[in-house]
Order: sequence, then C-alpha cells, then structure tokens
Amino acid sequence: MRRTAIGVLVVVAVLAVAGGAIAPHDPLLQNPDLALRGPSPAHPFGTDYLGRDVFSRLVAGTGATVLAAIQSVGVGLLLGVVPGLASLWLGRTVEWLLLRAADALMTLPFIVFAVAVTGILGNGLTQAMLAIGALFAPLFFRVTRAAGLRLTRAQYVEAAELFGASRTRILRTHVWGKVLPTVAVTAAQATGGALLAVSSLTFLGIGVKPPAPTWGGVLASDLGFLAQQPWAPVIPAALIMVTVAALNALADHTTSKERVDAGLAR
Amino acid sequence: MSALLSIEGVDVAYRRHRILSGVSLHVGTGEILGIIGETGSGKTTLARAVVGLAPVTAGRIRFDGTDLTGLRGRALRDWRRTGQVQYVFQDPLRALDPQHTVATIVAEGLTVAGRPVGDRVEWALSQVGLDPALATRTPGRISGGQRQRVLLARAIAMRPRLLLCDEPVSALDASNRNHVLRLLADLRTAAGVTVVVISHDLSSLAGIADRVAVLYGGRLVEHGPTEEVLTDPRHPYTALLTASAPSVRREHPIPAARLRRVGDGPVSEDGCSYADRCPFATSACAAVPELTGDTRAVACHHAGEWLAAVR
Amino acid sequence: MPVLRVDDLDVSVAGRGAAVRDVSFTVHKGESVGLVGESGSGKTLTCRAVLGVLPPGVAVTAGTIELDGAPLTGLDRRGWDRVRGNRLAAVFQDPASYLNPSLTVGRQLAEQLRLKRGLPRRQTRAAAVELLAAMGIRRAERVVDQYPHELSGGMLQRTLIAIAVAGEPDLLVADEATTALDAAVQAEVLELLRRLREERGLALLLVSHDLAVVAEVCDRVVVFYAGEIVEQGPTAEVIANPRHPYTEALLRVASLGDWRRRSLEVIPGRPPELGALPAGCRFAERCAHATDACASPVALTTLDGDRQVRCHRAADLALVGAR
Repeated sequence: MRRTAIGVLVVVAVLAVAGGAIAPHDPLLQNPDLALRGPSPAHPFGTDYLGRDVFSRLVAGTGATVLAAIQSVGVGLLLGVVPGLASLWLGRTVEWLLLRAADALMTLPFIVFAVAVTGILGNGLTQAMLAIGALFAPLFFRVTRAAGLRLTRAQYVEAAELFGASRTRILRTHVWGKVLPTVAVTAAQATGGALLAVSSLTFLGIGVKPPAPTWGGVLASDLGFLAQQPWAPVIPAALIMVTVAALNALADHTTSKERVDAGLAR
Repeated sequence: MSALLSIEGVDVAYRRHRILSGVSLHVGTGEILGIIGETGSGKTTLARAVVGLAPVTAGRIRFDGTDLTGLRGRALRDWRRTGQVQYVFQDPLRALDPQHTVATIVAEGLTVAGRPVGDRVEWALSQVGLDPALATRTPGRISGGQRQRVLLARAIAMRPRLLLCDEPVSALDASNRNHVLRLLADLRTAAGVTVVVISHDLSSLAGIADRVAVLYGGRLVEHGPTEEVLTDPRHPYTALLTASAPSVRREHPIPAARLRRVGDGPVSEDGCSYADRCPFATSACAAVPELTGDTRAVACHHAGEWLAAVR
Repeated sequence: MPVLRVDDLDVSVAGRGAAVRDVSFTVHKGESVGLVGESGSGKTLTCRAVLGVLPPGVAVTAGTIELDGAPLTGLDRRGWDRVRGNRLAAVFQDPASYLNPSLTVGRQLAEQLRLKRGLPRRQTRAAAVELLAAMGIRRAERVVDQYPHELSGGMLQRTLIAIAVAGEPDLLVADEATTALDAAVQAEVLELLRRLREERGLALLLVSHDLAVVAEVCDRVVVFYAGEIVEQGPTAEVIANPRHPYTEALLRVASLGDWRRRSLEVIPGRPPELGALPAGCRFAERCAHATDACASPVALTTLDGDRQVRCHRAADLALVGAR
C-alpha cells in the first residue's frame, strides 16, 4: 500500500516537473478533423471536442494543478503553523484572538470563498490558491496547537526552562521535532484536499484562462460531451482520485506507524 | 554551619488552594537533608518552589544570600543559567526528551548557558556510574535504573552547589536504590554538594541523611538529626511513619495500630492538619501548633505527653 | 491438599527461551507465600501464569498449575471465567486502572456481588457498604457513592481488594499491590491482607521486589533469581539463616527498620539477560562465594525442615541473616 502510494506520487511528481516535455502532442494544438475520437495508438486517451490530445493535455496540465495545490498548502502552513506555535506562549489575549480567527475562517466554504477572492483580486490560479490556503490555515493552526500544547507541559520542557533556556530554544529543540510529523501528515492530507479544490475550481473555469490545460479543465470539457463519449470523464477523474488516495494512504500509514512507535516507547 | 538554603515562612497556593503553609527550613552547606511526607503533603511542591516552579505567595527563599523569590524574567533566566541549584525530577521517562540522546540531554544545561561542554558529559556519566558508551542512546533504549542516573548526570554536569532530588529512588528495587543514594552521599563528600532528598523510604534515608524534615498537610511537623527523629519521634505522625516502615525484622517498638485513630478526629479549617488522623488529638488541636525547638523541632500541642499514652 | 500447586513450571518468551524455569511451590489454605526478586527475576511471570494473563508471545511451555486440585494450565476462556473471581482473584499495583472511572465504586462492587455471590439487586448496596467497611474504609456508606477519582490510592486499593474478595475466592494474588502506596497506608493494606487471611482462611500469594514487605506478611518466601527459584522456606528461617548467597545479598540491601547511619549496601553487577544465561549457577557472576564448581548446573535441593536451596556450596557456606 505504502509502496503503491509512493509510486503514484513519484509518477505525478515527474509529470508535474517534466509534463510539457513528455507530452507527445502540443496540448493546445487544435485539429477539428480529429475531434472526439476514441483511444488510438496515436491518442491513447482519445481527443476532445477541439481535437486536442487528451493524454497530452492531462500530462501537461499536471504541473499547473500540482503547483496550485502545493501553493495553497504552503500558504496554509505559513498562516497556520506559525500562529499555532505562537499561541502556545503569547498569553491569553493573543490565544483568544487567534482561536476566534481560526473559528471564523473555518465557517467559510472553500469554493465560494475562492470565487469571491478571484472576483476581487483577479482571475488567476495563484489568487485562487491563496484563498484556498487561507482556508487551510485553521486546520494547521489547530493541529500544531494541539500537538504543541501537550509538549509545553512536558516535564522535559520544564527541565529546559530550569536551565534558563529561551522559548525559541525550547521550540527548536524540544517542540518542533515532535510537532513536525503531525504537521507533515496533515500537509499530505491537505494536499489531497487542495488537489480536489484546484480541480473543482478549474472545472468551473476559475483560476485559468481557457486554453491552458489542467486536470479539472479536461474533466469539464469532457463532461460537455457525455452523449458522444460517456467514458471520457473517467480518465481525468480517475487521475485526480488516485493521486488524492495516494496522499491519504501515505498520511494514514505515517500516522499509524507513529502510533506503533509511541506504543513501543512506552 | 552556615545556611546555604534558607526557606522562611513560605506559603504556596494555586488559586485559592493552599499547598504549603508557613514552611521554614534551613539547609547548611555540605549537608544532606531528607524530606519525608506522603502524597499531597507538599514535599514536591517545596522543592519546586525553591527552583521557581511553584507560586510562592508568602515568605522568602534565599540561596547563599540571593533572594530567589523575587527573580523574574531575564534575572530568573540568568540565575538559572548559573546552574548552582539543580532540581532532579522524579519520573525519568517524563523528564527526559525521548528524541534526544543521552549526550544531548546531559549537555543541555551547559549548551543553554553557552558554556563549553568539553568532556563534561563523560565525566558526569562516570560520576553516576554509567558507561559513557550509553551517550549515543535515547532514553527509550536504556533501563529504568540507567534513566534515573541520566537524570542525575544531567544535574551534576552543571556542577551545582545544591541538588534537590525528588523521590530519586522510589521506582527502583532495593539494590539500585542504595546504589543511587550512595552516589548522592559520594557527591557530597567528593564535591561538597549540598543535597536535599525527598523520599518516602525512611530506611534508605536513614543511611545517608544528616537531618530529616517531616511534612504533613503542607506544614512542617518535625525536623532534626535523622537518627534522633526516627528512633525517638516527637510528632505522632513521624511515629506512625517509623512504625509503618516495612522491615525484615518484625518487631516495632510501638505498634502502628496504637498510632492510628479509630473514628474521626476533630477537624478544623485552621487547626493542626494532622488532628483528623491523630489518636491523641484534643480540643487544643483546633489551633495550629507552632514549630518549637531549634536543631530538633516539633509542631504538636501534645509533643511531651502522647508518648506516655502508648508506652 | 494445597490451594495452589505449581509444578516444574516453565514460562517461555517466543524466540527467546525460558524466562521462568523449573518453578515449583505450593500455597496452602490460610497460608501466605511471598515471591520475591529483582525486576526480571521471573516472579511476575510466574504470578501471571497462575492468573492466566501472560503477555502476548509468552506461554507456559512445561509443568502444571493446579488450583484446588484442578489444573489451570490449558483452561479455555470459559474455564477461566469460572475460576477468576470465584476461586482466584488478584490485585495489582495501580488500582485506578482496574476500575471504571465513570461508575461509583459502590456500583462496581455491587455488580461483583450480584454476579459472583448471586445477591439480589436490593441487597447489594448494603452488602457493598458492609464489605467496604470490613476492608477498613471509614464512612463506607458515603464512599460507595463516590467515583474512583475522588478516592486516594489506599482507598482504591482497599476497594479493589473488596471487589477481589467479593466472590469469596480461595486464593488472592497481590502483585506489587502496595508498592505505590505511602508508607503508612502500605502498612494498613498489608495488615488488611493479614487479617483477611486469618479471618477468611484466604490463601495469599504476594509478589514484591521488597523483601521487607514479604517478611511483614508471609509465612513462606520463595526467592527468584534470573527465572529460577534459588531458595524457599519459612520466612522467619530464611531471614534468620539464609542458605543462598543471593538471599543474603537481598537481606543486606533490604529495609531493616534500623535508623542508624550506615553504609548502604548494593549487590554489584546485573542479572544475566534472557538470551545470555550461563550454563551453571546463574548468580555465580555476582556471587562473592563462587568457585569453579559453580560453572556447572545446579539443582534445587531440599534441606532439613521444609527448605530448598539452589547452590553448590549450600552445605559449607556460613551466611549471615538479619537478626
């Protein structure tokens, strides 16, 4: 399970980096004569309504999709982890304010918020991902805080305080190493969520200008021609699902392994 | 002997809940003081108060003339970095970072203070009788007795003048227990370290402590030279403790049963904290007894009388 | 007929060999027997084998355990259900973890009384109060309605003992049951165990690392070292006149009830690891009296007056007891 998951993610990573070079055809090249064809040796996933090669569009679209997902998770990490750690020590007022801000953000629905933000900041994938990232922040905030809260009351932290250690030192030497695995697992799961969000947004046409290929974009255009090619949406949908599942599987595996390790240490 | 540590009328309270009331105790340079008391007697809180981990609401704690109770923020951190007073936690599993190696753990105080580590880790490990080869292991990979010693090594790596040990031997079997206590005694002789040992094992304390102090319900009820206090207790609670200590010889000078109260004693908010359990309590015990005496002190309204009742 | 009879018991850890070897002892009605030794000596595994609660990967590989003449080894789950609580009961070091934190202690005790003694529901509360009071709990009628977190360690242990004896078992196993208690409370609980034995004819198997605790309560003592019995006999005799150098060493480090300044003794070295047990006497490496003969295996031999010792030099050593 873990190997399969890693295998899938490696393939996705390679496609993301070198997708444009791997794609056998120009993903933007239209060929009305070849519109809506089924799979063939030249076009393994067939062609879309403009005669573009679907395989090339998916491969070339990987980069934009994955980058967008990573951007949003990066923004979420930055806006979540830093305040999460800070809230442990900055006193009650700061703690209260941060907790309320997190609650407020959590009530906002992903897609609607992203649509609103792109409406204000302009239609671009980066803008949309910043919006999604901001919505991920409460998740990272809570996870970091929960993991850290337990640690600040640990006796070895008390022992470090008795040596006169500063808070930043304690954070660095005693807290960070134990919060990191939890944050990493959450990040993997969030990346899965982000991929779905990217796909949904691009499906709706938000974030990208039409000809540029993305996973969600391919799915959207395929859905327009269900009558002619009912099988076509399965391919981009499967790609999205398998990638998200691989991220979740990896996260689950890490979490359960961590539990076992903790159990043995007892 | 001049007092290295002076605890003067210390109260400790969390919110409204008072843990220690008016505790006064002096520890002389190079002395080993044993502190005895049951769960909830405040013995751990007393040690934590000395190192600034418990809120002192009244009284003063002085170390070699420095008032520790007034230290805050930067001053407190600077004082702690001198490493002169070291507190050794009770539970090594909780007090040692599971992700750090023994070497990192033992060197932590020196690194925090920005002092050179040099061969201090090896030195500290050898002082507590640990193989320096353990330095690369993490706490999860060594035995319980070894962890206890790592805890001690971390403290003595700072070359402290005062060592406060919280139940350093309660989790160990008799042989290992004596081993660790002997280490403390050796530290005193070799390095002149002053030691305060909190323990519920009277027998092992008797082997090393010069003086003992008995805490009950957050108050000091008796203190004095170890052998005198334990062979001739003046407080009924101390007597109960000595009579209750398990021994391979079955005879006890006073049977423990005669030192237990049958039925409830007089309970009073601001009276003697032991009255509820004391078989000798009377109406006089509704007032807090004062700790009287100098080198040998006891806080009991009936200190002179109760012994006759059981003899 | 003894209440408990353990014969030639071997307990093995999967892939690592016998952690307990060749252990035999008996506990008679109304008798209390103490198993004593350092951590890892096999005393706890022996006691867990008797209770049928060995950890995963550990199993009885030879020998028999009989309770009232019926074998416990090889019992199935339903067989154990009939034995536990009715004829065999146990208390452990951390009473709080054996009680349900969300039920009052009275409810939990009543449950046991109803199940094991078949008392009708109406009578269980009164019986619970009575039993708690018999365990030396003051204001028992108030305590029955309290939750475990409201009680001190000593009260919890008494409650657990009450639950254990509610089914009127023949044998009570106490595994380090007083180790975590304060000295004054420990003495009270030990006294309670002594009293239960006298009043109810309960047989007691007490496991402790502290020889002094065993000496306070037990008629007979079984000394374990590195998975084997090295000495057993009547407590008073063993203490006054130990025949095995390890027993002598344990006595030197034990609490003597002596408050004079003295040099604290230790037993040098460490017990052998399970994977690296010597072929000969297992204590030889740490023994002050060891000779070349000790490199050969040594059997447990019976001495005069109900005593057994596993030492090549038992006949010619003059060991010092506690007196």
